[in-house]
Amino acid sequence: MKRYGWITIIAFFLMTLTVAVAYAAGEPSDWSKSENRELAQMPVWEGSTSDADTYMRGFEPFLNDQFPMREALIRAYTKFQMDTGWWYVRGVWRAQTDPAKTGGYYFGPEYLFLNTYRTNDDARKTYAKALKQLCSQSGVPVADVVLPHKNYALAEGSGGAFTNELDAENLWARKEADASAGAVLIDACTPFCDAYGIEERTTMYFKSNTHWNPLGAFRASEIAAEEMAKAGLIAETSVPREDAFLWKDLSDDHIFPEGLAERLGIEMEIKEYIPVYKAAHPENWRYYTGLDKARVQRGDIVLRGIEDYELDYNKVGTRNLTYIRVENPDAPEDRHVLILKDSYQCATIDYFSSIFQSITVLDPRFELPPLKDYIRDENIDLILLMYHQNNNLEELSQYVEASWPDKQ
Amino acid sequence: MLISDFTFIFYFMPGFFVLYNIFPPKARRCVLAAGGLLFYSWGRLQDAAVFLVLCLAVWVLSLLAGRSKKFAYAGIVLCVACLAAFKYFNTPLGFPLGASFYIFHMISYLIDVTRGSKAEKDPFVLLAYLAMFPKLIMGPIEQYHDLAETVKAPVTTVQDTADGLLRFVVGLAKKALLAMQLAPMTEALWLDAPDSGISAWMAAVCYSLQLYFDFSSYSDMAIGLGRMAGFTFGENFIYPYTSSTVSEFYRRWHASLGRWFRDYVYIPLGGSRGGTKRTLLNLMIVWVLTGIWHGSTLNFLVWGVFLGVIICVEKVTGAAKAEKSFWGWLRTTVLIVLSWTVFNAADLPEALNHLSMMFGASPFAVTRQVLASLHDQWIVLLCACLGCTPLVRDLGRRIAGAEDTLKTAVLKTALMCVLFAASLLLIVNSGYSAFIYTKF
Repeated sequence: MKRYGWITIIAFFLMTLTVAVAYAAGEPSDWSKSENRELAQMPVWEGSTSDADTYMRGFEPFLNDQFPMREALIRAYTKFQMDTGWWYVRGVWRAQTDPAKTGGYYFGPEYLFLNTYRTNDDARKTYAKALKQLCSQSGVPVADVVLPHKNYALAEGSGGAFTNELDAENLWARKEADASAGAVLIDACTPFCDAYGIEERTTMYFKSNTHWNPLGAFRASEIAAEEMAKAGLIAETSVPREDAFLWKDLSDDHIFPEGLAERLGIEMEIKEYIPVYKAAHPENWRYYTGLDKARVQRGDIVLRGIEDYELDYNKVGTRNLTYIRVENPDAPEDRHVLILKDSYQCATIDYFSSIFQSITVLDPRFELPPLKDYIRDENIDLILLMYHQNNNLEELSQYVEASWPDKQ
Repeated sequence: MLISDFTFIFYFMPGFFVLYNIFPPKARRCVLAAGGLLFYSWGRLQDAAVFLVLCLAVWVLSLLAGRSKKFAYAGIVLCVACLAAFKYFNTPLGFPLGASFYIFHMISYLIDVTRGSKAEKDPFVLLAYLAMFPKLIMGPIEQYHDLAETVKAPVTTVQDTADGLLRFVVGLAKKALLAMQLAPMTEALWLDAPDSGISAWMAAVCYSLQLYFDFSSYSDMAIGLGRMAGFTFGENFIYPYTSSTVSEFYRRWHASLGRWFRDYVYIPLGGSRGGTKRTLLNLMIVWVLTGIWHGSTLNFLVWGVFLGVIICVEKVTGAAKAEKSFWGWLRTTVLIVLSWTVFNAADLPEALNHLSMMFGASPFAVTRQVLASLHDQWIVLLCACLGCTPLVRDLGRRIAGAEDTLKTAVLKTALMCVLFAASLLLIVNSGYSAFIYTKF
């Protein structure tokens, strides 16, 4: 290297110079499609010395985010990971596809999953405490309808690439909390997997999304309604009949470009099964939404945007709205039900509206007036919690606690 | 700024070294001092102000030490007090980046002055030594007397620059290709530990590897940059995971900190000259101080005491001087992995909790995180294990050859380009990742 060290020096400085020039010449991007996030922009000097640190520190995220050809590099590396058979790429699980390991059943590589996390002990304790408060303070029966998460329902098809032990443990923890608080447990998870084999269950969840499709939501709702009847919350005759709904398959005319696939750079290539259902006779139903509880059209709430070519989970279900009320004077159960929910509940609105004369759906992830106001103002006589089994339920717990602050 | 930042690699580093080499050797101390200050103050003006004030105080007190050594001792007390305040008390100044390292450099200088070294009259020489950016934030901790002469007029050569660049890129590659790939695996397995004892053990092993590649990569980059600037820093990591005893491990791991404690604490306390009991006491003092130096939480103290006790046991039983053996290596590796578990935890309860998972509190189930880590990252784990040994270095030397030929230069340059490009690709994909030791 004594004589030839120049080669190394020149090569290195040419590489750094090339990148530095490319930075200067390139047009900054605003958005990373593969990461679904805004990209850092060139920091702007605000003029005051107190901004100096912020200004200087702004360069590193800018240079990271605006690295020349960054999006292409990310996609190339992701493709490399996928082509070499990684199971866990960019925070997304891809199922094992070896039919020999799935009892001959082929589970396609386009089935994408996010990680399951064990609901943490603090969250479990907080939920148990909040649920106790809800049961004792609300003055109405509370039923916890636990919905089967995709990871729980489909793990069997992964051929051992992942298990649903954590999902099962989360379900167990939820049952424990329900039992200690005196809430009625409606477990839709276990009977759901018992009633449908893995091949059927596979048709009930979107491949490229963490949610179920409306068919999964419907089948789980049926099971939940039957369990509610067994628990005496509704009459057995109130469980809707299959012919109370109309079905349509949108798979051929629409695409479902969803986030998990976008992360892997394989958007638009996954053929999704998109079954949607609606109540057969919703003519007399009334819909309300917003904090002012304004009356709106059905199309503003249910299957909104369903005519679009590009569909997403919110369009085939119901958008996550702060407040929804559906009144169905023809429903068999003369009950005013309040539902606290996560996004898994979205595709169940028509089903439960067919059972109860009034359902009020609140999403505690939004800012809401106190829960006790809704219970009082809308004569609520049953509260349903509708969350999938892996939800930490933190927003729900906080909302309940905020509604009945601990006097101590 | 860190030496793995793009700001550094694409702008500061080329700009600095072009300027540095334009100036004659005698003027380079000023460029080094100014460059170090710019590097350190980038985004951290308050930290830089604290650093400058301390530098000024150390310089003045060292000059006054010519009249009475008490001034130098006062400087040492000031440095220790500042370090303690930054580390253990919630001062309004927070914890200045790299304070643990630069304050040890300051203490090194002041102790050398008390031992008879001439106090540096030229403030730029002292500032160049203290603010030398390759080692400023995470070491290696270079003792003043080792650099005192070079820093006055550092000489650079084409060979040093080329070798330094190679070392820098190898360090960057260790960070990007191994440490940064091990980090998410460690994190996922650590979170997975309550569900599986295997995950708990794998998390501990992955963290042991991650810490090694994270810290040693910085040292490689620092040594490379130092070489480019005309300095020869001591080796900081000498394949520690090949050690057969814990004593040997710590001669090879963060060796510059070990040398610092040996020269400025252990030997002044009497070293091994005062009989067995005194030696053991001195060793325990050093290890308690090492633990405290790393952090204020109890787990660092327990970590230091744990290692101190093992090293004392090795001293008493003669194991420290035993021949290399497989069982010695295995025992040492397991002990070190256990010690890193305590080190990595946020506090002592978390450490004990994780250790309990490793020893049966969690079922020894194969969770999907374990399966995925082995399925997806086996090559990273394999490379990391091989990278802990001198095999790769020896293989590289055999392929490239030691002779100064065109073929050797081209091969080394090609390797550097590939490693540099691969590192950039993975840094871009993984996003920003700080070095673990910046928090100490």
